Amino acid sequence: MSLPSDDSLMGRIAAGDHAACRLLMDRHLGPILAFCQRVLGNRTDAEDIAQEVFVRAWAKAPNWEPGAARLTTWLHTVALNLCRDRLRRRVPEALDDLPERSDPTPDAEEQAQGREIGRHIEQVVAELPDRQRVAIVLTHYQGMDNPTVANVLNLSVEAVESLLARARRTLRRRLQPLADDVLRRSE
Amino acid sequence: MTDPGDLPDLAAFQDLLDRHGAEIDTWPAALREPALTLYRQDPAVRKLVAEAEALGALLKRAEVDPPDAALIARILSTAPTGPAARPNGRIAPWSRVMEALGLDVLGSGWRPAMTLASALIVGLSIGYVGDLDLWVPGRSPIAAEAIDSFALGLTGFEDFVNGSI
Repeated sequence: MSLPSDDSLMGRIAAGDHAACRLLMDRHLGPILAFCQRVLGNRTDAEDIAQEVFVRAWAKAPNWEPGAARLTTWLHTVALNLCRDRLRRRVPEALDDLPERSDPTPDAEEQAQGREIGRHIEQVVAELPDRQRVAIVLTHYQGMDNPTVANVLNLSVEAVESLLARARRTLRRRLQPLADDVLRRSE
Repeated sequence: MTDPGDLPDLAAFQDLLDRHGAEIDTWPAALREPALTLYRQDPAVRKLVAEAEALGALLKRAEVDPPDAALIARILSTAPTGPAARPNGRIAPWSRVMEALGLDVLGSGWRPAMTLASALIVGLSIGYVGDLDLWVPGRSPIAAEAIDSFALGLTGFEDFVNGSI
């Protein structure tokens, strides 16, 4: 049985179908939350904004035009605008200030090491200029192609390519030792 | 067949990698063939691609926790649970009727059909008891009213029922 399309779910949500809301969240909440967290570098703010994105989706449902736009693009555009507002209003929290989470599993040491690497990568990504960071997050984590990123950022595809090129040059320079390690392990 | 003169040098290839990512198959069509030719021919190019892939894999190691149950519950508590609200916030009369009949499970797709069907019924009724003055040679009064009412239906039968037309 095929899964209902996003357009179909939006139609059902417009009719007050609570189960359709749940299905839409199952599909999109994780990626939207991750996107917000990577753009903002803060979990609490990311959760607030993810909630607001879905509140806006419920409100949009009665006016949603099937086929006119991809829902995932619309959700990311709304999320990005809300993230920008949030960034304008606050001094960014240093990633070093994020609380450590305890891990009770036996291989906690290995996981802690992995988390440390993850935090370092997060920090390097967080230090990119805002638009470069958003372009990298949309491309590498959200899996969007350049034209879709251009659509979300309201830029030309060429401008997105330029943002990505500058961002990847910086990331390559900053993450070279770690990337070499990944390369050695894969050989 | 790509002309060797069209192939980018290493620096240009690195720039293309930075612009389009490590998956050459997803590059713009015009760039794909020369890039793949170069990839097959030049070990230095393959090394650049491998480095770009490694950077992508590295970035993926910065994971984000999935949404927890509390967040899901919080957002679900904001989700609509009733019949469709119109953009102005009112509940459409036909939504109430469909809900009362237990047909609201059909979603919003029934609305245009109901509006047209209602317009047709009203049109036929008015045509049946209608004023002969409305009769125009070559134009059946029933058909005329049906057509007029059909047009009325298109402009909003619900507004007609509400008395705003």
